[in-house]
Amino acid sequence: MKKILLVLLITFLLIPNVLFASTSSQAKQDWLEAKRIRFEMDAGHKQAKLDYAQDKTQENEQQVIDTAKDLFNAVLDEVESWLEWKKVESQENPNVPDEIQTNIENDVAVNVSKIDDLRGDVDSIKTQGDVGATFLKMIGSYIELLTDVARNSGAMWASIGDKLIETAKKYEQKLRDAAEKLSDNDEIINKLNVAKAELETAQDKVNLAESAYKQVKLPGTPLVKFAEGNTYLRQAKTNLINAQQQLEHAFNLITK
Amino acid sequence: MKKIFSILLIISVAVIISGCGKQTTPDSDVLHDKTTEDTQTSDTKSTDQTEDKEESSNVELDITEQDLKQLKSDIQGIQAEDLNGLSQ
Repeated sequence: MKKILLVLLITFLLIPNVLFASTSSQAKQDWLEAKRIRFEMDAGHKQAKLDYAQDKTQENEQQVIDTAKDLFNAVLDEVESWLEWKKVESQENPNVPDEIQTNIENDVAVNVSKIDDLRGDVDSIKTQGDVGATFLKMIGSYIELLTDVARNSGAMWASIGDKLIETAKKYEQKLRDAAEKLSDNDEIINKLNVAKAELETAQDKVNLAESAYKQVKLPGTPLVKFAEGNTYLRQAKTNLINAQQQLEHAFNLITK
Repeated sequence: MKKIFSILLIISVAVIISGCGKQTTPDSDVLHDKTTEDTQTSDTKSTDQTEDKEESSNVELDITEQDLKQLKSDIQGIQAEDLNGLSQ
């Protein structure tokens, strides 16, 4: 009876976490936490290798094997949580085209299944030779698991960037139309000109990001191309923020 | 035994209620909601002000301060996080 009550209590305690874990911000936090744990496990494994290099005891060798297994599992946790975040992110954002969202969902399902297989490989590690062989497999799998979703996620943000620029351009035109009806409008027009230039630059950057994201594939250097696309996207974001500020200033000048 | 069960049940319900209260709204949403509320409040004021100005200047403007705030929020939502590779 006590055991049943305990199980019931634990179930109730977990309900809120289960219900509300699937938001994009929470999923991102889960990924960041998994990433932090991976670095921690990496440090532990490196230390175990140093200890073994200094003192080749059986105990230290076992420590190398155990920490390697912990590290590999942490890597798989990190990848899985990143995939989950990208899936939730695409589901939550209404601006994501259906095709991209479906592609991300399908790729995540396939890759999570591959992760389960890899966990089996990690569990069966017994020797340092197994560690080396599994590590080589993990390096290849790590990139494979991320590539498709990274490419689709990049396409998703490039598409959202396009939509935001389009919206901002409409606002800029509306404000310009209104400003042109005012007699003393120099300051407003100047701000709108700055906004327009920022939006043009943002569009160029989004186009470059889109081009880089399309090259996120194997064979090649998908993670490098993904980082390249992200750099352009971050630059576009800065241009968009600048443009939005100018639009807001112009709005305030028109309505003051 | 009944007493233990009752206590556990009360604790569970209390935890669920407090848990829901804390977690239904992520931090970013809280901020967003606050901003939305603030904006909505200020919108009412600014709409009134806008109407006054529009009447005086005869300028038609079919975008609102809220539209610009939403644009800002959408822009800030852009995520571009890199992925680390694995090293030996």
